[in-house]
Amino acid sequence: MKHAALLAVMLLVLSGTAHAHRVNVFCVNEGDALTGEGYYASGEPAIDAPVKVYEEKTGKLAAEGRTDGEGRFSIELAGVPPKDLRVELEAGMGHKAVWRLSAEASSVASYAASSRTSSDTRTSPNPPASAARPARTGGEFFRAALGIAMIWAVFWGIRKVRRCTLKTSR
Amino acid sequence: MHISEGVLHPAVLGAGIVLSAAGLGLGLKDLKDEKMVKTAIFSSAFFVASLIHLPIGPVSAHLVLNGLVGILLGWAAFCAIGVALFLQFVLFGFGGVTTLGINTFNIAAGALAVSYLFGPAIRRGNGRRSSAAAFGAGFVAILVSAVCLAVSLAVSGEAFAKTAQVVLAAHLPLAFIEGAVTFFVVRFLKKVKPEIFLN
Repeated sequence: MKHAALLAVMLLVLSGTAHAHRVNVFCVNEGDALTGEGYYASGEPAIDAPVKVYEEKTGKLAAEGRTDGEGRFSIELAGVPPKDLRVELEAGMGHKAVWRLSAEASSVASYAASSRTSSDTRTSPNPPASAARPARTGGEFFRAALGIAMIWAVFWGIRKVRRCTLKTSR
Repeated sequence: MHISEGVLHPAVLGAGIVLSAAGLGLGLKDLKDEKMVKTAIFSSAFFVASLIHLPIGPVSAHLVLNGLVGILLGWAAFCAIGVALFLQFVLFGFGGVTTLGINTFNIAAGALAVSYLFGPAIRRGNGRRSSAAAFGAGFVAILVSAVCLAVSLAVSGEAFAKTAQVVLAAHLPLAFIEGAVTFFVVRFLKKVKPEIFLN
């Protein structure tokens, strides 16, 4: 049993440097186009993944595109009314990420698009894609340790509950 | 391997919840007191294994270790995998809350299949025979889970043949790696603690 515990610890240590599995999407309304980026939690880009822009309320498909070799995409927003938008990126095999843009963000952007003013009006309430990438820190290691502690608590709890019910039934 | 929120049809999600609830029930029955520590250990191993990222194929893949969990735990694998998947969702954001049922079933199905297919050979056999069975267990567990994954996606509307092709192509290299990892772990455990396979 000690050896199996050692194995678990080894895996835990390895995981500190290794990567997780989850797909993320971030995007910014640049006025005439929606640009952004899709990537896995490991930092690897989500290549050639379909990106779909829906109107939040009606669920109607407003525009669509695909990510390039670096996981970036740019979708024309011409003709898309300033409404709440939902951007969905599908990385295949059940992996999907969602990013929401509020109506203000889209309308500010469409204003910028129509007036072509300087870059400060192009700012959207959402952070730019490059700045939004989460840094991989010790937080993951901590959470892994926390998770293992919780697993042990669960099985310890099952055992405890079972012992109690056994006693009362006797 | 972790299906996200909003990809699957509600009927598939429901079926997943029912199937994994049944599996958990049988798993709890199989989870004897003596097996509790072993289950917690391999649940922990499964929990952290998915953080180990393997840079293979077009999509990012990670270790699953469901074959190892299956041959060591049998039906109790459902408990180990269910608990670990729930915590992976809570702490790492893998998968989703509605897909917990179907994900548990898909991964545990692979574990259970190899516990019946390769379990006896690993328990009784020694040396080469059990090592070969261990590789098979790691390999087949991934393939079974990949087929379950393809079926759940296909039922939800994606074309089966194409989806199955993509999913299998992505999981085949992983299956070899899992086979190798399971092979080494089982060989090691056989040497230092052979009784771990018995109860």
